[in-house]
This record gives sequence, C-alpha cells and structure tokens, in this order.
Amino acid sequence: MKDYFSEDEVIITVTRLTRNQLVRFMEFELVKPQQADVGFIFRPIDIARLELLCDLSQDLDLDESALGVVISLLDQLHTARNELAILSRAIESLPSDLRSSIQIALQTR
Amino acid sequence: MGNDPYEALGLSKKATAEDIKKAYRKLVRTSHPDLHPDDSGAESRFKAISAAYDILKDPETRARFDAGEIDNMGIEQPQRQYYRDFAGAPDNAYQQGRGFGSDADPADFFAEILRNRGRASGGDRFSEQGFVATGGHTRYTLVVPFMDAVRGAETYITLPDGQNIMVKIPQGTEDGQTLRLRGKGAPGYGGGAAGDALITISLRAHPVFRREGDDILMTLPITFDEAILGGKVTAPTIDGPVGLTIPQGVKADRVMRLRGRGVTRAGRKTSGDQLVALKIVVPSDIDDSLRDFLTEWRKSHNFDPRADLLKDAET
Repeated sequence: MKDYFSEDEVIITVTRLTRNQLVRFMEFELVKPQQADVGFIFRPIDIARLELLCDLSQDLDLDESALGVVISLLDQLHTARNELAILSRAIESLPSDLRSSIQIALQTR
Repeated sequence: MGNDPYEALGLSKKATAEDIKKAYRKLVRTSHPDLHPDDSGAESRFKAISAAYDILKDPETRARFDAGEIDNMGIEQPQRQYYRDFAGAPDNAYQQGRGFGSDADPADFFAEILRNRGRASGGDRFSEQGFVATGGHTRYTLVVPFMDAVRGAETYITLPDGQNIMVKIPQGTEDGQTLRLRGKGAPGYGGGAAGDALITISLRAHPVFRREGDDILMTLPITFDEAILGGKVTAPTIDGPVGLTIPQGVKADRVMRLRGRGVTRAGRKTSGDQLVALKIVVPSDIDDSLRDFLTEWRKSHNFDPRADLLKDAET
C-alpha cells in the first residue's frame, strides 16, 4: 500500500467517495490530511477513516453532525485504549512481586 | 462465506428492498469492525454481510442471483483496511488528549484492563465463566384511552414471547410517561437478573377534554343571552356533570375555574382544576323578533368594541 495519496488518488481509491463529500468531510474536520505545497496529502490512516466515514454516512445515513459525534467518541475510545495499552506494558515490565501485588489489588476491588 | 446472502442478512427470499436495507443497517451496527474494535470476529462477519448486501441491494443483481445467473460470491470484495488497524498507532493524528490527565482516576484504567482481559480470554463473552449481567430493557408503547389514564385502569399487553402481563395504569398518568415492569425485559446473562419492560404511555385524545398537567381543559358553548343575562348551565367534568353559574355580562374570552375538578394523581393530596373556556354561540336560525329587536338596538346604541383597537393600530 502506498504511503501517501493526493486528493485525486483518494477519490479513485475510495470508490464510494465523491469530491464534494470529501470536501465536506474536510470542512467538518472529520478527516484532517496534511497540508503540503502541492495540495493535501492523505495517509493510509486517512483512507481507512474515509472508508469508515462512507460506511457511517451512506449505510447508516448519519449526517455531518451525527458523524462528528460518532467519530469523536471513536477517537476518544482509541485514545483510551492506547493509554491502557501503555499502562499494561508498564505493568508487564515491573518485577513479578510488584505485578502480583497489582493483580491482588485489582482482584479485591 | 458460502452462505446464502438472504441467510447472511437473516432474511427470506420474499424480503422487500426496505427489509434488506434495514437488516443490513442493523448488522452494520453490530458487526462493523470499527464500531467494535475489540471484537475479533467482526471483520469476517462484516465481510459476509457486505458481500450479501452488495448482491441484494441492487434489484438487478438480486434478480440475477435469484435466477441462478450469479453465485453468492457476487462481486469480489476488495481488500480493505479498517480504521481500527491504524487507530492504535502511536502517531495517530486523531488521538484526543495525550497521557494521563491530572483528572484521570488511575483506578478506572485498572478496571478497564480487567474487563479487557476478561473479554480477550473467552470466546463467547456472555457464556464466559463468571460473567453475570442484567438483561437488557425492552421498550413498548401503549396507547391508553384518555379516561383510563385520568381515573387509573388495568390493561393487558402481550409480550413477544406470547406472555400476557397485566399493566396497571396509575391514576393521573400523563402522556409520554413511562411505566417500568421489573423483570419483564430480556433475560439476564449467566444467571443475572432479567431486564425491565419499559412501557411508554401514549394518551388517546378525548373529544371533549384536554389535559395540561393536572388541569383539565374544555370549551363550553353558551348562548349569547346566557352571556348577557347570566344563568345556570351544566358543564361536563371527568367525574360527571356539574352546575356552573355564568355571571351576568360575562366576557367572551373568560375562562372559568372549577377548583379540584381536575386530575387526581396517585400519591398527591391536591387535585388539578378544570378550566372551562366559554364560547358564545349565536343561534343559527335567527327569527324575526330577534332581528327586529337588534335592528332597533343598533339604531339607538353606538357600542364599538373595535374603537380602541383601530386607534392602537395607528400608533
């Protein structure tokens, strides 16, 4: 998979997406491509996000404001998950006695 | 895949286009990998349902499938990467907030870890050992006659499983109020308690009475002579007819209050009032004596209720 996509390439790659729709998604900051001298540059994460936005807007009929709510909640969910992953890794790296005290503390809650 | 597309969407061959869309949407909600980042089975489920939907959403491809011209592979699904595959990357530009804020309670994160572990270890999270949860609430709407809600009543509803349950409509129930029947909702998981049935009451309109909170509103027609000379009339109330004295020279827009004749609510001491709006009615059949009298009356009087109105309109 390519690393970067131009606006035209995005329209071709995400087949369901029209240019108007893409502009609206950008207006509402649902997708935030990087700005470069040659125009906007989209990353694979933006492509995946646009596919998701198409699913939500076309299949579930969400309008931009509902999309904003759903996407914001999803972003918060992923942020929380990342923080958890960081926390889990931190706990994994602790000496085993510390880990087991954490385990016990968790289980007694 | 290998499944019938109708089967994949839980439909029969007779399904309408609307049914297909509805079923697909419902499955998107429950199976979209990005809406269920922790569900490892979501991707294959979503693939199957979107392949099925691709065949059935277009009447033409659906007809071709029904005629056996194309098989259930339909259109090959392009490889797709889901947003959740990227969302965990450390450089995800869409992350909101970074690190643990000062207001974050670390205990929440530990609790979440435990919950996540519980999910990851078993296949079916509901049959998993030790997982106990209350069943979901089920919602119903019940249309209730106006008077039943005012006086209180008992009625029966039939649940989807065929069970009949008695619903007690408390005296004074309002439109839009929700009654809760404990334990009549969906069964619990792993021995958990059943959810509740939530019944939203919708009041059927009454031809005579309207309701505003605990007050009953109605419009009472009176004759023009009753308005001028006053008199005793009978007004209906929710508890039966009562006598009402119309004062002499009553104003046409006067609302009379019958104290305590409104709705009595279970558990409340004071009742609402009945508000009677008077509506002056002129006889449809005007006889000669009345016409003669009013013609004479008009000649000798210059009563003009619009005098002030016209003056005010100019300022």
